[in-house]
Amino acid sequence: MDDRVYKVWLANYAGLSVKGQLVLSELFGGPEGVYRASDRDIRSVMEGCSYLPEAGKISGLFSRDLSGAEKLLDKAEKCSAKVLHITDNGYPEHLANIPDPPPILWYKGDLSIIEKPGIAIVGTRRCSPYGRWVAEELGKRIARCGGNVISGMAEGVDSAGHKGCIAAGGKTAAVFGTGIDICFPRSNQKLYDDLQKNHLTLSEIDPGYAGQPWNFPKRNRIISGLSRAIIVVEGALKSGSMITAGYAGEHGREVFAVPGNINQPGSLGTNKLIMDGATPITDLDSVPELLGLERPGAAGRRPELTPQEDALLKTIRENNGQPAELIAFKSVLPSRDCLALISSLELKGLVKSEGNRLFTL
Amino acid sequence: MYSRVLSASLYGLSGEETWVEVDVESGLPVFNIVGLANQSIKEAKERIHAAVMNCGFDFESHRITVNLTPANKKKDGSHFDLPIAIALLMSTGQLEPHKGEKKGPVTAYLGELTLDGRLSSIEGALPMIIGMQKRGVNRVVIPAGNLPEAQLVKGMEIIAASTLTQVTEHISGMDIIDPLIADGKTSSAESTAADFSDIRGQELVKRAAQVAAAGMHGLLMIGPPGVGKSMIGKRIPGIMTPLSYEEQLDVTQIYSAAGALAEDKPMICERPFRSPHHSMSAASLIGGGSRPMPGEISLAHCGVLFLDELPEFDSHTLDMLRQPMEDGQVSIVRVNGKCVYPARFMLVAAMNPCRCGYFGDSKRRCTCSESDRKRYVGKVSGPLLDRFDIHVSMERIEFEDISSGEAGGRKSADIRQEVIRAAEVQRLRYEGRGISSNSQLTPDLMKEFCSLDDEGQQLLKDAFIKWKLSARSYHRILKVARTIADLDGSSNIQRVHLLEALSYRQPDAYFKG
Repeated sequence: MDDRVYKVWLANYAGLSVKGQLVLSELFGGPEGVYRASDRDIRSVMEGCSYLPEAGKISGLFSRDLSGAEKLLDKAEKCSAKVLHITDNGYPEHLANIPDPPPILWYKGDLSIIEKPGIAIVGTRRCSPYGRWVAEELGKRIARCGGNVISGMAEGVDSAGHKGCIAAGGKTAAVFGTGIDICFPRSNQKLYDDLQKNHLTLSEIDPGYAGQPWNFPKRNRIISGLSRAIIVVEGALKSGSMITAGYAGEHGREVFAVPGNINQPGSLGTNKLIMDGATPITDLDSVPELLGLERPGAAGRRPELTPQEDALLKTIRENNGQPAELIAFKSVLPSRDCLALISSLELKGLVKSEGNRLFTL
Repeated sequence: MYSRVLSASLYGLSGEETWVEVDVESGLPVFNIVGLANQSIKEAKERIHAAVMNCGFDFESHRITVNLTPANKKKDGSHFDLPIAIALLMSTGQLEPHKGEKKGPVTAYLGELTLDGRLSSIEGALPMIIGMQKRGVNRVVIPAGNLPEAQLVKGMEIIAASTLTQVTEHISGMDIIDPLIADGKTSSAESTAADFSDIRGQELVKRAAQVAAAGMHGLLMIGPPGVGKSMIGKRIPGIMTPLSYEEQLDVTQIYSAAGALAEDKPMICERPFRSPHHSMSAASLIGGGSRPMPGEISLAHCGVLFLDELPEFDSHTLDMLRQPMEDGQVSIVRVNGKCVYPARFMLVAAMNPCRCGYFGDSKRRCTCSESDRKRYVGKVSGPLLDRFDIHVSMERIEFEDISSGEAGGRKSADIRQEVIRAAEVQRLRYEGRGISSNSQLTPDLMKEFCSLDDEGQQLLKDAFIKWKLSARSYHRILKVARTIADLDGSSNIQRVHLLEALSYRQPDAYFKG
């Protein structure tokens, strides 16, 4: 058995806080050293470390039973998940520096994606077509500027953020609130497969465990920890997104929020964040500057447009996100021409329809 | 003494000759009706007894046998009262046909008797009379209440009576009723249907409705409650081509067989609009019962079958639509035979984008989770969705946004004019091909009539890559583009036609992740 088993044991079964694990690992030369150290040595160290919360009660509680850790590793082996301990070299520093870093992370995929801090896109699961469009666009723009998107693969905003990033050829990491081998929600199976194969998925939950409701807010601290900025796209006043934003403030990350209509419950949270000092995303073009990302080289050349298409595009831009019906009315074109022109603009990649609403790209 | 009188019975929509034979012998008094008669015919003896007595005739105690022939076919309906009574009166010698009546053409009798001897109107008179005419019977005695529908059968001699006495006096020559020769003229009732100009805004959907009506394409409207989906659906029959005489006759026959003809409206002159509730059973949708009755799809023949709240319908019920839609008719098989009812209708459906109805709404928050929404939309099976050539999503429009415009949009009559022209183009093009509208195009025929130039091919190719369309949607888009070209009076499908057809594709936002 390699040293992974000692890491899993130290993280899950030794009953030590993250801090305790780090201190003891350093003193005894890694997790295996801690395992092999005698009770007396440990006790003497612990008694000297009165700043460790478990110092007083740890003596005699040490169990040197590896069976639990071995079982977990077996499970991980089966789903070919790898394990990353806080004492490992690959453990990202920016994550280790938050007050409550996860001692152990199970992961599948390319660890280099979280080497540098990414940008988190978070928001409600029940997002509006507007929220979905914003999240997808943000994902695309971040990817085009070479940034990595961090999110939680939940329905709604999270998935849209991942998908946008993937569509633009970027790299993205998802932090689960369930075991690494469980696709939750099930409807995201396709995205889940793609993330594990070409990107990165992470979880602090042991493999094989389905999520419990309280795991999800907890994993939000990891999303924040892995990022240097978070963007809240949509969220109610009391929601997981607001929890993530709270963590981000605690961790010293920059918080951005997408403003929305003040009568939309889904935007009340983000608007409140802005009131509390988050930076509003006021237009998509300024996103790279806001996030400190480099703008990609000049974008592909603009497709040629007929004068009619140009006029309609202008109307759509002025009424971005409005129903096609309204655009048709404002454009004063006969319905049939309007429908044909919208299709044409969509084909040229300048407009996207979400249900009945039209958005410029 | 023996006598017999001609009547008819109805199997599905085909009226068949049925002879009523009565034999009266002396013996113990019995009154038997044989010939696979059902309960309503068996009960006829009580009605006949009372009616005959109340009309001043004798009903002496004899051994009476009534046979309905051909005796191996089941018979149903209360219209045998009159022929049985007439035959009975002849057998007992109380009624003697006058010379003219004896020599004249064979007369068929249809009618239900009340106890006081009046004739009340019957169900299915029209298809039975049409069936008689096909078999060379040109004279029929019917209750006066059925006269309006009977008049639709060109060339039929109709004797309408309101009491049994009138019929007997006519037969005996005491008071001959002049036969009325039906002229087949239909009262082209003024269109009472609601008008498209009542709907403010939603011009894009009105256009989609026009295209759908012109090519008889299935139309699916998706949108939150209150955007006018049902309003639009209800107005579609008013923009379809008017019914031809043959179609009117077909539709009226179905309504007659179903007993659904209103007294003041004997003839269905407008395209029917049927909007069954989503709690309906499979039998009421496609037709059924021990004596199969036409279902909603047949009542919607030549018209619109409107399914509001599509996902709320039982999915098994909806899946039954598929075969009749393919064939344009439905056959209902029962132990004692099979009934075929025509069912060529235009399918129009409306649905909310999610259970609460407010997904994507600007004012109200949708309370459904993503998976709730997928489950709701997923209730409509893929094969059924494929029957809708045209998909449109609708959105609530703020009144202030559109109230500045001119009042109302185009009138139904104007829209209809264009539809008529496009339908005529299709009729001429498909003459002898066994189809009548673009929606019925098969892939083979499409190769012939929906060819695209290079530019069009390239455009479709781009669209397919961009929106990941399926092969089925390829055909749908081509068919719809053909209709749009027909509306435009263009012989070939141009770029704009394809582009517009593409805008009626299935909206990804609702049906895909």
